[in-house]
Amino acid sequence: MRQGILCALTVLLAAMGGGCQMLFPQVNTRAEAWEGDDLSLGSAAGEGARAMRVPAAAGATEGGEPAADAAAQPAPDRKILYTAQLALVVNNVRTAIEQSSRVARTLGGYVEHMGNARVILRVPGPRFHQALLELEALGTVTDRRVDARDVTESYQDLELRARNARTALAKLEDLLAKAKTVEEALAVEREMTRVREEIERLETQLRSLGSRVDYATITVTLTPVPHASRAHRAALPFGWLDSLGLDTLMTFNPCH
Amino acid sequence: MHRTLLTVGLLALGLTALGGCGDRMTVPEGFVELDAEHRGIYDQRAVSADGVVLAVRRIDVEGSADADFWARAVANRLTQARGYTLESSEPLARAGRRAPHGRLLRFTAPRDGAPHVYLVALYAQPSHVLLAEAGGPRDAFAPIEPQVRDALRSVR
Repeated sequence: MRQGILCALTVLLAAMGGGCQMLFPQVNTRAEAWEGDDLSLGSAAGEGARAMRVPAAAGATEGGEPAADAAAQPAPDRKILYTAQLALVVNNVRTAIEQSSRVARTLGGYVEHMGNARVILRVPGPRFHQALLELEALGTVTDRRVDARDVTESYQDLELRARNARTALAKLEDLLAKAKTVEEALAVEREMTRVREEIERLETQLRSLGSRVDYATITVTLTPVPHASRAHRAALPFGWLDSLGLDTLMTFNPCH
Repeated sequence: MHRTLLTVGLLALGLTALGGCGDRMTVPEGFVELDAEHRGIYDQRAVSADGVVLAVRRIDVEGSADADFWARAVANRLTQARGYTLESSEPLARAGRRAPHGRLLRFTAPRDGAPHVYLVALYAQPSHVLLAEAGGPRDAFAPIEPQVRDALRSVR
């Protein structure tokens, strides 16, 4: 009987992709690729990944393809991960940050990070293109990078592995019920622990990937207009223009 | 001789009084007019308890630019050099006048980390520009903006 349990365990594990020491080796390998901040996917390059760097002046991709095509609507069943980096020159960085945040919130998104001159926005995937257009209107675009990666196969691969792991766990539970000795039960439970950990890790990866697909990531870097440019454009010979504004109006200095 | 002197004196007094009055607006309820010590560069200045400020002043200018010219110059200066956001620019007629010969500009800008509203009404005259300004924290400004706009239109 003991030999039967061990034999069944061996057969089950072999069917899952190897012996006890090699349970889900592919899953572990891929998990490492997902855990970093880098959005690049190990397998994405072979799945139709598209990465574009768009010079602001050109307004199109290096291949002449309109930049907006990167945000074109994919087939409904595809999982597309959109990311963009925008560099803008603006008159007032603080104001532009507030305006950027407002764009994200208006489109149903949120601010993931806000720094002194950089803001990371998350917007719903279907509003990605609109968000880009509205953000670009806040200043002069000096750099624009848009990535659209098709991660459908990676997502399906993770789903399949999670499903297989759950099936394996169910079979291990059956084996555990049939175990006649403590030794057999301990062996099966060790494997069950490993499989549960794999399931948890796979589900975390699925949630993370799903979130990145549902909400596109847009990083906006803001730079103030150089003082020389401002002076050049505002050199009218009317000194009273300098006395306009909230600071003069709202400061009650007797010597003013 | 005495009558001539008296006439000249009264005339001078009247002109001085007219000049001294400067340009004024009708201040809405809830505002207090400030005295000369706190009037600064303005001919008239008033403040509400919530920190909204109104002010009027006359700027002598050369040439005969119209309100559109000055509105554009003001908008350029505030948006390009100060980072203000121009939200609207509309023709403006002073109360009791039919033809609009002024412009009302509405800006928003952060001040001390809080959003503020800044309105500028410009009335172009042959030798001067009448400026009526209003500004304050957005939360305090928004509920009274209609009355503030009326005040900016009331400059005479």
